[in-house]
Amino acid sequence: MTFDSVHEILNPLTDIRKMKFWDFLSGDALDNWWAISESTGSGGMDNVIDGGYQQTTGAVLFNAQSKDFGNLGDHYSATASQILAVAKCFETTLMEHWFACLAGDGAAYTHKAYMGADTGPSANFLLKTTNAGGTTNTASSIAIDTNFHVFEAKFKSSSVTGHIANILEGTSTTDLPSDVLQVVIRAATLTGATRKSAWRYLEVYNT
Amino acid sequence: MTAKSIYEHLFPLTTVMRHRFADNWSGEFRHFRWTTRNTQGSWNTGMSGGVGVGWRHLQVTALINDRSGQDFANIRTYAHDNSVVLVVFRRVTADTGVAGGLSDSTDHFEGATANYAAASDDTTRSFKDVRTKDGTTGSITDSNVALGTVDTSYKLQLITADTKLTINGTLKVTKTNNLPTSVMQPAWRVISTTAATGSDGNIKYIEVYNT
Repeated sequence: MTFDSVHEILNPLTDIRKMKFWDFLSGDALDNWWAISESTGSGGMDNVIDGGYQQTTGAVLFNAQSKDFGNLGDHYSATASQILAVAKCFETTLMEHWFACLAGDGAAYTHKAYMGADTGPSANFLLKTTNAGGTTNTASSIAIDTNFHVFEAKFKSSSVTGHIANILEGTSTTDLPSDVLQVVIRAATLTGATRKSAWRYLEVYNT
Repeated sequence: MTAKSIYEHLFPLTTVMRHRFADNWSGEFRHFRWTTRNTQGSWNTGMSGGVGVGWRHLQVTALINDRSGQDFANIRTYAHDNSVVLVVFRRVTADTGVAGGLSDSTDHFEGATANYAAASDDTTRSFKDVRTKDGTTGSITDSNVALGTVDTSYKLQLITADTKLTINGTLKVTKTNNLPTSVMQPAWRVISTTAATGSDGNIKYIEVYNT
């Protein structure tokens, strides 16, 4: 079956398309819809087959590299959206990487939820939800490894669910974000050594 | 039910996609993902107004082999033996060659030690062709499709055994010699084939992916 438009592949014409973004993260540099938020360490296209965009932290505890939409692209709903990321860790310990992440504005991304890795609470990939009242970590069944995976976070009216390879791996109903949200990709080290992660694909849309 | 994500129209969610890139060449500027390179001569490059024109390279100087193109500044993420390139381009003028494909070189489809595979419409030939180089030796295999100055859709399929060229939906060439041997980046270029000025070509779509 063929279509006349990308729109019609994704939506019947009777649907009014909601906000959507995707990025193949291929080329020699990111486009200028991405803004640098935290810049200790380095970031750039990973120059290997199937590499994607990599972020490497500095070698100081809590150093982080992150990119977002500059607090202007917070187009995504905390209660009706979803984000998909094909991403990977390069190490398995002492790091926090936000793979499929939507977060609000502000220095600390107070409101956010992501599927990713945070070795503080869990040695497995996890779903994290955060608002001004606190944080809830929900560990998946999959141990952190260095392979690319398909991560998803689905934002609903009273929960956020986390998925890996289309398998539901966690549901959070507490500390849900309530701000308008933008895409954030972030790598952080939880030790005095560098930590690296990479994203090969990102897609986000309001549902 | 219509899947809402591009991803699910390309893969099941249980599949980890390999690297992919697509560019519609529409807007005021091109993607930041590209590096524009005037390898020889002076060229005007940029988005060009006009129905369906897309991104254009127009020669200003007047030497043979003046050439200008686009690449990923040697960020090479596409496999020489498991990848596909779809490209739609147009040679506008006589005395001009236009080619698109994959290359490991910033001289695209000319470098002495380059690896590349490209679809080409070049007025030094009689037919549209596929050209490959293995880092040492390059060669060209013609299709049976006459050269032309209309938009044409080219698909290159690179596997270990061969490189296939499909033109406007019909397989035209299966090339088995001098295949590239190293990892590559997307590339596209316009070259002058005589000492006249004004070589002109444009591109309106490219899509690349590992298979």
